[in-house]
Amino acid sequence: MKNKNLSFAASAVLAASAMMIAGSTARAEELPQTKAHQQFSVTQGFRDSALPVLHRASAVEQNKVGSVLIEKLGLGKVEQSSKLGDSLHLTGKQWALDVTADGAGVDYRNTAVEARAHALGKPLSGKMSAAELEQKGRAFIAAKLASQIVLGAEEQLVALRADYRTEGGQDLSTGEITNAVVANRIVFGRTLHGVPVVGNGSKVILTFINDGSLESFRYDWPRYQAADSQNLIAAGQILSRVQKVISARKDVAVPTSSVTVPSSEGEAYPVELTPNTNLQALECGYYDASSFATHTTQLVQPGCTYRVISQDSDGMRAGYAGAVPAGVRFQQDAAWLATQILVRK
Amino acid sequence: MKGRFLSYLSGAARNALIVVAGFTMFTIFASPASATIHFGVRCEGSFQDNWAPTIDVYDGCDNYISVIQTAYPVDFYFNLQGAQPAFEYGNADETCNGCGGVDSVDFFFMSTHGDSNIAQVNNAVYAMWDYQTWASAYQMRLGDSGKQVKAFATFSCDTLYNADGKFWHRWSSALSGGVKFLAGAHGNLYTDEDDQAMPAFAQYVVAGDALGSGWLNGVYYANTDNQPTIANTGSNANNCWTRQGVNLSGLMSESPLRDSQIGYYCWTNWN
Repeated sequence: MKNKNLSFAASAVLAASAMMIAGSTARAEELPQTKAHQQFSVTQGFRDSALPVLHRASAVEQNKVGSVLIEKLGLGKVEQSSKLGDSLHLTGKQWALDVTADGAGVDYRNTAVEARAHALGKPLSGKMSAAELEQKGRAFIAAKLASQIVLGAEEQLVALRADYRTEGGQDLSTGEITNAVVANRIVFGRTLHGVPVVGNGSKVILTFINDGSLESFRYDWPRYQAADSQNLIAAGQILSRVQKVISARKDVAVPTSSVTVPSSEGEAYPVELTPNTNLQALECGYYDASSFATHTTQLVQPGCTYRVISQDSDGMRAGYAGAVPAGVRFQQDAAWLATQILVRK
Repeated sequence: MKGRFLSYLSGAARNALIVVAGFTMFTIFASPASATIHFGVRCEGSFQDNWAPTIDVYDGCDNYISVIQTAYPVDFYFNLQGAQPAFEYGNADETCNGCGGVDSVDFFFMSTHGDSNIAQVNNAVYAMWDYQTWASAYQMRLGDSGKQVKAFATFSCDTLYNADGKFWHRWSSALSGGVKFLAGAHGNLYTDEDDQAMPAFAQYVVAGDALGSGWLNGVYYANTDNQPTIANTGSNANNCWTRQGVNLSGLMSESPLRDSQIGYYCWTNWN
């Protein structure tokens, strides 16, 4: 069976890509600052001993957000306006735009651009670099989303990761397998006084096809208001909370032995929580699940998101994601399951 | 038309094939279009004698149903106790709507553990509740009988793994039945305390977006570490890519491709 990377565009590229080495990848790429933050979170927790609780500020009117973006993006006439759940759903000629109930979240996709992505496929090695994606993303935000992605004092927009959409196929008569990268994605987050917002809140995700056209974006970008402070627990206690929450979610007893905080020297991950269950990443900051969450809340408390993999002897994996609160005395939140699990005896 | 929603119980109550959670809802759907597209849902979060890790999938499945139900009937919502025959081609359960058969609806959705190489066997498999029991893609021929399922979407890890060149080995039997759309993952999918993936996908389906981009975006946006995949067949490469852009309406109208009509298969991954 042949296995090659194949562009769907020009013959020259086809010929070149046919010689690509099998196994060439266009894998997701967490940027160095993201990895550094994950390393710091699991070894140190937070830089501060206390942080304020935040509240997502009052709602922005959905229709107004939709109108502003439609004008800015030059989308023309709205052909249909409806409600999908709490979201405002607007569609026009080959585009759709959804605005969340509080107006802070928008999901936009351009189906005309998406339809071109396949024909512009490139060999996997031809993916956009993270640096190029960051530059394109910042330029788009500045040009088209500046009225929505507003940074307050001591706030920063930071690039977090680059991801890639790849395609493949096999001709069953020849056995030939082809691969291509067809879209490139950059994820931005936000820091407040140097502390990142973790979770799906305060994110801007932009997708570009290979000719540089924007295919889609999704953002959640609220204004935050600071309230009372919470004193924060240390890294070891954060890991204990993750261990307790994961045990509850797996419906197993909490281990009697506590998790060892890894050394700051060398690679910290994976961190064993229980036998066969490892923490892959921990990111501490203000935890905001976003306006796209199934259970929305205005409350944004200090917390740490986790990514955990359980793997048995046959190789079967189970992935668990979520977040634990990091305040010594956190507030219970009906929209945040871990805050309920952790107060159980 | 029936709209029966069955939830789950825990512990000893799991010994029946189908567990009724104490309420059954019958819903009348007024939309003419809804009468033609039937959904079925099966989800399993805990497993007999803990043979597989407990995963919290029910909120996601509940929320998926809540969104789909705004536009289309959901014929059943069952767990996966004793469910293996419901996936086996030729078994009476496979086309039995009251049994939760995969070929008894147009659009089948499931969440449970999945794998593509369990115990070093290259097979796409889905964990049943029953002790060390899997539904195997080798035993499936999706879309060839009964209601002829058109879409098979599974929030499960790894079953659409495609980096090793053995995708067709795993899926040729199932895809040869004519099913038009597979959604799943080529790697990890994370269950979350607050699942956003499954209802997000449902929202794209109901909105009339392409099913493939709806799955890829809904699952990715819920967790950027998720590794979603879609796959389908075509008579040739162009036909395969064209069919991959189908929405729900197009899914219902396009012709199934079976056996020698299939000349190409194609997939798309995020991450």
